[in-house]
Amino acid sequence: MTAPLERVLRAFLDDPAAPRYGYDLMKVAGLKSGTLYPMLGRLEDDRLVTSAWETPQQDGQRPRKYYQLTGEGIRVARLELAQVSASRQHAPGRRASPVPGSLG
Amino acid sequence: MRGERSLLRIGGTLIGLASRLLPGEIRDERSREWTAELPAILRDPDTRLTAHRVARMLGYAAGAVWGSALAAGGARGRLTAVMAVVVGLFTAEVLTLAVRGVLGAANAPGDWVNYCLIVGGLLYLAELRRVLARWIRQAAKPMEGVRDAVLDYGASFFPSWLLSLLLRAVGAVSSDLPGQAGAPGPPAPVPLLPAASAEQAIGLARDTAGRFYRTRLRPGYQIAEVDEFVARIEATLATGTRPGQAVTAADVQAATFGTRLGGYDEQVVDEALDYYAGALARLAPSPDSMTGPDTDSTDMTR
Repeated sequence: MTAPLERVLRAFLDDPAAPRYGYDLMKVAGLKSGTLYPMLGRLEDDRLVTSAWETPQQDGQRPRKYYQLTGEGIRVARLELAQVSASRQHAPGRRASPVPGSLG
Repeated sequence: MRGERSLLRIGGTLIGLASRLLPGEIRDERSREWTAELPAILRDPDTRLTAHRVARMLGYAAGAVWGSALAAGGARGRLTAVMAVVVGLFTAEVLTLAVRGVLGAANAPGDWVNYCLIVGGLLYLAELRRVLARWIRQAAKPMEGVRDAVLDYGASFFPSWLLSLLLRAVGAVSSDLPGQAGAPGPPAPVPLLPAASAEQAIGLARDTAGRFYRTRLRPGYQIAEVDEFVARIEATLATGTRPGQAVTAADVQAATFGTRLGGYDEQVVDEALDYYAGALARLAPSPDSMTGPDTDSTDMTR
């Protein structure tokens, strides 16, 4: 899992029920918009994240779009983050010093 | 806030540019979403300094442009950005020389060097215009035409060693170069896994460029080796087992790959291979594979 993805999933899992705007996620995860939105798009394609438009408000502001983890998304995100922290406790990956050119 | 309206207009212009780079089906939605975020960033109560909020808002819009340009094709998008800068600098240099030629010809009408500079500059500009116009005419989408033209023009004008240096610098592979022999590029990721959760997990591991997330300055797995291996796994999963192509869960666990700078991120590939091994172990055993799925690798130790 990539570091930006990990930070986004952590931001979502802080409060899975809370609706998250793109800008909020950028602030919490410390990401640029150019990184965040393609990632949200992929998560949405994988049905791990769902999005909706907020109801229009009276003061003429445009409705913003917010994101939430789906039930499946919460499950997968917890699993993935647990795997990441588990693999960090054990040292580098098992194929750390491979024999060049030898395929399975 | 004073000047909010004109600031929002600048941001809106950038957003318009960004959304034009996106595919049609998500263009309107993204444009609406980004436009609605701009005033929210300008009025963000958590950021105290006005200048900070303005910078954030403009950075947000600029990031949207950058992200959309890169999303157009991963490493290829990065290469286009670098190539556009190189071609742009070269064009500026040629123009400067041509202007110097015009000034010099006005001052010293007899000096033939000035006329050479002028003619050379005009020929270069005419050629650039011709290439751009041809590619844009041929392309279904104008932005793609510009991209192809810049790539093609860069490849025809600059030596290949310089291009391969550039490619390395931006973390792109040499197969991104147009017109280079034997450059099929990595196969497109095809989601063929039967198990939904494994498919999703592997989808998570994928990043914008290529099949898996790539390292920059650290060594990673050889891309061609991993691509070939994963293609064999996917073929096995898609068709059941086929002699010569069949890969078993044990093969996946025993697989090793060579490394290079800017290869695939080892942890990402390992994780994806774990899921692949699990999916393979769930396949029905075939004559040329093991006798039983006794090596369910989902609980393998790392």
